[in-house]
Amino acid sequence: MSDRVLTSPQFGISLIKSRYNYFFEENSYSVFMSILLTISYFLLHAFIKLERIDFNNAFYRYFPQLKPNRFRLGDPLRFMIQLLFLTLVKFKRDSKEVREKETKYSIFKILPLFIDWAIRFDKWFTLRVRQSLNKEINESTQTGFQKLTAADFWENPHITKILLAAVLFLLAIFITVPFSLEAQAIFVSLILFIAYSLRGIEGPLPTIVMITLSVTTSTRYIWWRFNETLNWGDPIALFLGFGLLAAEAYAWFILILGFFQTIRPLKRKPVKLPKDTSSWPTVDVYIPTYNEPLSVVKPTTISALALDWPEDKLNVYILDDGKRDEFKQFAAEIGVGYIVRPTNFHAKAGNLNHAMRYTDGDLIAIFDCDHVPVRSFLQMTIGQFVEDPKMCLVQTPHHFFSADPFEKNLGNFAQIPNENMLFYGLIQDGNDLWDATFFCGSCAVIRRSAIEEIGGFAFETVTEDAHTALKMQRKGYRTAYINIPQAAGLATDSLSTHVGQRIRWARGMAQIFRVDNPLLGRGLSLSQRFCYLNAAMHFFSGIPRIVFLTAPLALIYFDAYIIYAPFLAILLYVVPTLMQVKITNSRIQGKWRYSFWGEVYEAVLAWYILKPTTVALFAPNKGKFNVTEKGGLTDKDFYDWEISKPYLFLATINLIGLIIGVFRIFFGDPVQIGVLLISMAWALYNFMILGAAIAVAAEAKQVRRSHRISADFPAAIRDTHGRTFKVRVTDFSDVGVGVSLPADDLIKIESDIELIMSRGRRQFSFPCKVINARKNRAGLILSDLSLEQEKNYIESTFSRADAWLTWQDNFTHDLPSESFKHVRQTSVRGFKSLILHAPENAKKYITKIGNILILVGSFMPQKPKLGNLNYESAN
Amino acid sequence: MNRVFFKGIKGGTGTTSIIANIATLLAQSKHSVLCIDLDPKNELCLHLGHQWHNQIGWSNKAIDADANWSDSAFINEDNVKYVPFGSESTNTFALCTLLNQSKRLNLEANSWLLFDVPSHISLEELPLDENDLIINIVTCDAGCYSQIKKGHSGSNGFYLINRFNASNPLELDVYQIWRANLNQLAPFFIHFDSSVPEALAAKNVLINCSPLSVVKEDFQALASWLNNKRKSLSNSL
Repeated sequence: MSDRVLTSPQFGISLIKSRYNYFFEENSYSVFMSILLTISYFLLHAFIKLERIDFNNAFYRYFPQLKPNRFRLGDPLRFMIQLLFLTLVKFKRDSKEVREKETKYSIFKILPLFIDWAIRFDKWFTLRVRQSLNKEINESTQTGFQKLTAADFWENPHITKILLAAVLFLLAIFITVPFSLEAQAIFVSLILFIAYSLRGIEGPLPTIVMITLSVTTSTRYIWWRFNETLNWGDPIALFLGFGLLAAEAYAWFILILGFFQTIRPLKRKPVKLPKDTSSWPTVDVYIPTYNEPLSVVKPTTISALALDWPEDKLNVYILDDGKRDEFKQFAAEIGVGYIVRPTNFHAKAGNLNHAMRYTDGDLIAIFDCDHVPVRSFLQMTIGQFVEDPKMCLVQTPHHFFSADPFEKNLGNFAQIPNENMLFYGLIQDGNDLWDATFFCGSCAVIRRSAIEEIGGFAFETVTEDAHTALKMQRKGYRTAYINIPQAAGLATDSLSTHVGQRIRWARGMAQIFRVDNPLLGRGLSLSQRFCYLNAAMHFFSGIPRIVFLTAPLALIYFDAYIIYAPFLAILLYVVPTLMQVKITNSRIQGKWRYSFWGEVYEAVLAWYILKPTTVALFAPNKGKFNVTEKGGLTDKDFYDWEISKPYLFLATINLIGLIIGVFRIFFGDPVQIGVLLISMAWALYNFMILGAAIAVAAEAKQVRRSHRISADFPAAIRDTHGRTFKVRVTDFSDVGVGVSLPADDLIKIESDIELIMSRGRRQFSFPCKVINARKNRAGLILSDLSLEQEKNYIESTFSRADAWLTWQDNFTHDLPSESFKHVRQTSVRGFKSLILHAPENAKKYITKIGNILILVGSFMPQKPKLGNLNYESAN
Repeated sequence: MNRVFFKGIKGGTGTTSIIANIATLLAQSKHSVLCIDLDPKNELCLHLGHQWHNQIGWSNKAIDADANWSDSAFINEDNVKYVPFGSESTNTFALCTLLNQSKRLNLEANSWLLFDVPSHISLEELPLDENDLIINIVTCDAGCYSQIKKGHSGSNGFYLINRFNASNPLELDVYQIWRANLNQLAPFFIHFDSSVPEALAAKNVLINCSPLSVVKEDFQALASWLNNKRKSLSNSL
C-alpha cells in the first residue's frame, strides 16, 4: 500500500472513494473485495496507526506469507498465526559471524582441545625429561607417547593376543549388558559426543575409533532387539517383528563387512616401468563388441592403437560377435586385428576365450567397446605386472563422461558423486588392501598365463568378470587396483537399461554364490572371502530395503508392535545408533557417496533385483547374458510409469499410513502417541526416499547423441583469412568442440576455420565449421574428416592422458544436513513431476488437492526473512 | 653479450620477420637488444618501423678500425636498437670486420645481438665464436628438405621451423621425418599466420599487431628457449 495514497489529505466521501479506487482500480481487486478492504481499512485505522508501519521494508519480512497489494480473505488469520509464532519463537539472524561463533564455541570442540593439550603436554614433558637428562633434542626426537606407541612389545604376539582379548571382552560387555534407560541414555550420549567431536579431526585414527564406536552401538542395538523387543504374545507382531529384525540384522552385517572392507583404502600408486623397453611385455588389446554401432567402437579402437607402448609389442583386436562386414572393413583400414567366431556361445566370456586362441601377447588389456582409453593407460598399469610375477589383474576405474540415468533425470550431473563412485573411489581401493580387487570386465589388464591356468575366462555365470578374478585369486594370483581414471565411456542412458544392468550383476553375484561360493573352496584368505561376501550380500538388499520401506506401517495399520519396547527405549536405541552409523559412514564415504543417496539408489533397485537374486540363488543356471544398451536417444521428456509402479505403490501406502497416523494421534489411545510418532517419522522418511526414487523415473529427454565432455586445454584456430588465435577447448565430443576465444566476436558464424590441436609435440589441423558463436564462446563442428584425421582428432581429445584426472576432485566432502536437504528437494520434485505427467483426467483432481494443500500450507507460520534488513548495515 | 645468427636455409623462409618479432619481444621484456641486418635486401628496418626513404646503413659507412658504422644505429618505440644494411654492396671482408667489431661494442651485460643472415652467405666463412648461437630457419617443404639432405652448412646450428601449417599433409610428413632424424630441431615451431605479412604492411611486427595470435605464443616460446640456451652456455663456460 503506497504511502502516497495513505497520507494524502482528503476528507469525507472523497476519501472513502479514493480508498475504494485504490483497491479496485490500482490493484484490481473485485468489487466485493474492494468494499471489504475499504471498510476494514477504516475500522483498522481507528485503532492502529497504519501509516506508521513500514510496509516497504520490515513488515513483509516478518510476515512472508502476506504479499504486498495481494490481500486474501485468510490474511487476518495468517497474520494472527504468524504474530503468535513470532512472539513465541526467537530467531537468530543467520549471519556468518554467528555461525562462526557457534562452531568455534561448540561443545564438540572440547575433546579435540583436550587431545591438543595432551599432545602439547607430551611434547613439553619429553623436553623437560630430556633436558634434565642432558640429552640432545632435535626434530626427530620421539616424544614419550610416540616412544610408547612405537615400542617393540606391541609386536609381541602374546601381548597382541591379550590386548585383543581385552578389547573383545570390553566390547562384549558393552554389547550384552542390559542397561537401564538412564544408563543407556548416558552411554549413547557419551558415544555420540565422542563421535561428533572426532568428526572434525583428520587422519585414520579417529576413523578407526568412530568405526569401533559404530560397531559397538550397532551390535548392542541388534543384541537388544533380539533379546528384549520381540512380542512373543502376538503372532502377527512376532512374525512381522522377525521380518524387520532379519532385515536389520542384514543391514548390520553389511555395515560390519563394509567397515572391514574399507577400513584402510590402499590407494596404490603406479609402478615405474624399467628404462629398457625391450624388457616390456607384449600386450594384446581386446575390444569385444556385439551390437554396438561402429561410431561407438571407432574411438575406442583408435585410442587403443594410440596407447603409449612400443609399436611392435602392441596388438589391437576387435572381437566382433555381431560379425559385421562394416567392422571388418574398418579393422583392415585402420590396421587392427578382427576376430569372429562361428557361434556366440557363452557371450562375452566365450568371445574372449575364442580370441585367446589366435593371439599370444603376455598381457591382455580389455576394453568394452565404449570405453575409450587414454594414452597413458598401459604406462600406469603394466608396471605392476613387471614388478610382481604373481600379479594377474590390474583394474582401473570405469569412468563415465555421460550422465547416468540418476544424474540425467535428477539434473545433478557432476554435482554430486554418482552411484558408481563409491565402488570405484572407495570400495575397490579397500578391496585392494585385502588383495581382493574385483575384475569389472573392462579397463583392466590381465596376465595371459593366469587365465590359461584357470581354463579361460569363466563362463558359468552372467558376470564372467567377477568370477574370473575369483578363480585366479583362488590359484594364489594377486590383483591390484589403481584409482586413476584411465578410460572413459558412456553410462547407461535410461533407467530401465540401468536397472537391467544391475539385475544382471545381481543375478551374476547370486550365481557365483551358488556355483563357486567364495566362502567355501580353496585358495582364498579369510579377508578375501569377506570382501566377496560383502559384494554378493549387497545385491540381496532387495528384500531388506522393502522391509524398511514398509515396516513403520505395521504399527499404523495393524497395531502390531514389531519393536516391542516402550517409546523411550526405542528412542534411546534406534535414533542414536542410526546417527552414529550415519556420521561414521559419512566420514568414510563422504567423498564418494553423499548421505541418504545410498537409500535412494537402493530404493530404486530394490524391487527389481529381488526376484532375479532369489531365483538365481535357487536355480543358478537360469537367466542369460543380456547386453547393456548404450548410446540411445529419448527425444522428449516422459515418465516411466512401468518402472515406477513399485515406488508409487510403496509411496501411496506410506502416505495413507501417514494420514491414518494423524487421525490416530487425535482420536486414538493417548498411550500410543509416542510410538505412533516414531512410526510416522519413519514413514515420512520413507515417503521422502520414495519421492526421490519417483523423481528418477521421470526420464529427461536426451537430444544429443554425442555427449559433450567438459575439458580445458589449449588449442588454436586459423580463420578463413589465415589469422591464428589461441583458444581453449571447453568441451568436446566426437563430432565437434566448444572453444573459448581470447576476445569477443573473433570468428563469424557459418565460416570455415581450422582447429589446431596437439598431441605431445605433434600437431594436427582439423577443418571445422562455426555453428554458433556468441561473445567469446564458439561451437565448432568437424567437417568430414578422413579416417586419418579422425584418428588424430581422437588422439588429441579422448586419449589425452589428463582427460579424466580432475574429475574426482570436483566433489567436496559430504555434509549430512545439506545432503538431507538435497534429497528432500529431489523428493518434492519427484512428486511434482508425478503431477506433471499424470493422465489428463486425474490431473484435475490432483491439481485441486494440490491447491488445497498449498492453501493449508499458506496458513503455516513461516520463518521471517531476516537476511539483510536495512538497519542491519547501520550498526 | 649473446650473439645469435638467424639464417634462412634458403630464400624466403621468413627469417627477417622472426628477428623483428623476437627482438621486439625481448626488448619489451626489458632486455637490451641490437639487431644487425646483414641482408642486402635491407628489409629488417621496415619491420621495425624505420623511415621508408632513409636508406643509410652500415654498408654506407667505411668499415675501418674505428667502427664508425655504429652511428648508423637506430632505436624504435619498442626500444629495439637496430643497424640497417644500407644501400651499398659489400664483401666478405667487410662482414668479417663488422662481426669482429661487434664483439667489442660497448653494450650492457647480457644484451642480445641478433644478426639477420641472408641464405647466400656461408656462416663458415665468418668469424664465429663457440658460444654464438646459430638458428637456421626452415619451412616444411621439399626445398628446405633437399638443402638439409645435401648437407647444408648449418650443421653446427639449430633448426627452427617457420610457417608451419598442420593442415598440409606434406608439411606434416616433412615435420615427422625431421622430428625423428634431425637432432638439432628446436622443440617448437612458428605457426603459419597471415598476420605476419599483414604486420609488415603496417611497418610493424606481429606481436604488436595481433597479440591474440598463436604466433605470439610461439615467439614467447622461442624467447624463453633462447634464454635457457644462453644460461646453459654461460654455465658451461
